[in-house]
Amino acid sequence: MPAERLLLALLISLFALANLMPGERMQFDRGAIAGGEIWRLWTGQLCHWSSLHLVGNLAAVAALTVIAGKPLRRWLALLPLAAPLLSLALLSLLPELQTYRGLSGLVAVLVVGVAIDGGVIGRVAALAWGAKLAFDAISGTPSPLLPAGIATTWQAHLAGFLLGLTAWAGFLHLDRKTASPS
Amino acid sequence: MRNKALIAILLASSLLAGCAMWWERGNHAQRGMVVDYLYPKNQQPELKPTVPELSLPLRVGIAFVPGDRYADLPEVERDRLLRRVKDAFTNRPYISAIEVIPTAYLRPKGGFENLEQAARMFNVDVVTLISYDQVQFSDSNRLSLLYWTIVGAYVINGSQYDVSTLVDATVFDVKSRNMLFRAPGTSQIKGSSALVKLSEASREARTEGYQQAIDEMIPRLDAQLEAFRTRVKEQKVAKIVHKPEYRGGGSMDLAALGLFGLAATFALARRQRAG
Repeated sequence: MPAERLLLALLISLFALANLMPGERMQFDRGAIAGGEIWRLWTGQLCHWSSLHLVGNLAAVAALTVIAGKPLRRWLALLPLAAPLLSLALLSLLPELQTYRGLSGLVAVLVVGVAIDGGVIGRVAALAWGAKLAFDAISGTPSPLLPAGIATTWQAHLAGFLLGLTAWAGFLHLDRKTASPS
Repeated sequence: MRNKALIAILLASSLLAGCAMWWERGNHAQRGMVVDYLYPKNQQPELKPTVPELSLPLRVGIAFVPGDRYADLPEVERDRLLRRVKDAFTNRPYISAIEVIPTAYLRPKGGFENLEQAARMFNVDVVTLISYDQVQFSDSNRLSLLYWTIVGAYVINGSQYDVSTLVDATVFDVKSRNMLFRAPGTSQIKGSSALVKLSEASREARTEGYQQAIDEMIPRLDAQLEAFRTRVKEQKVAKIVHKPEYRGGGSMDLAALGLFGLAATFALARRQRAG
């Protein structure tokens, strides 16, 4: 599908831009977004605090791609659209959050994709990840992949997961529309 | 004959009294003053020369001062007016949140103790108290003579009203109890209506009066806020400290990576078995 390819190309370009440019100019920054730097709504979800942080999130994406295979492409293509929505959710739901970087909110969207398109293994992995998310929310366990002073924002994972569920509903609707004879 | 005259006098006087009751005249006032709320029973403000310490980004609360007859302005309407003020001040980098404090959480003449309780409950550092003083004068004009025709009371605008409103936003640092700055807004609405619609028309005018006064107050409050920032920089009227910034990271941890890695290995093995 040309639209899917276009969105995947956009995702790769945005990801490269977000991680090659200085993080201070790319990160989600509440004050700067309010000041009109709206590109941060996209790049904030794609840039990272450190190389270790980047490698950890990319490894998760790679593993999810292996689990679900080709069907995960449409979920990956969705990420350029999901990124600003996720940033807007953080803006409104976490007023105390000043700056944010990290792909894992969008990884949570892919987790829903893996649950839907990744067979039994995908569903079990998604279920276990959901349980871990609940544990993180209660315990506030920090991620060892983040530098000191940076808190793990589990709310971004939850918002990403909810966005994924919404996308699933959208895909179901589209699939039904395509399947039904016009 | 004498009885008939007596009955006629009684009827005429009762009719006149009825009409006098029918005419709604006089004043209608509602007010909530910040001094009455914060310094009840003629308490004197403590004069301690302190410099307030403001931790940025600030969490700001905003509330109407509880006052006399404030039920004339319903809570829904008060909330709508407060949200107009809130909307005008969101997206300031030095303000992290603005909370609307419903009047039910403030006690008339509650003093700073009550203000501190509400501030703790809503987790705010600074509170903007909106005091108000609204007076409505109602009177009849010459056309009101036609009210005697009964039909005139429905169609002739023989009653006039004049609503004067003053609102005043006063910003307090709750911890030091210092007033930081203030800004007023006023409005005056004049109108006329038929007698039977006077009550409704004047109520609408009172609500409109608040809206206009708040609309006039917002740019002044904005200007005062900027002036206060300048005073902080140049005259050091407040000490600014920065709260430790909440920096977040969306990151997988080792458990999640292990889980996905294991699932990916299983998926690969399964695919290989399937050929």
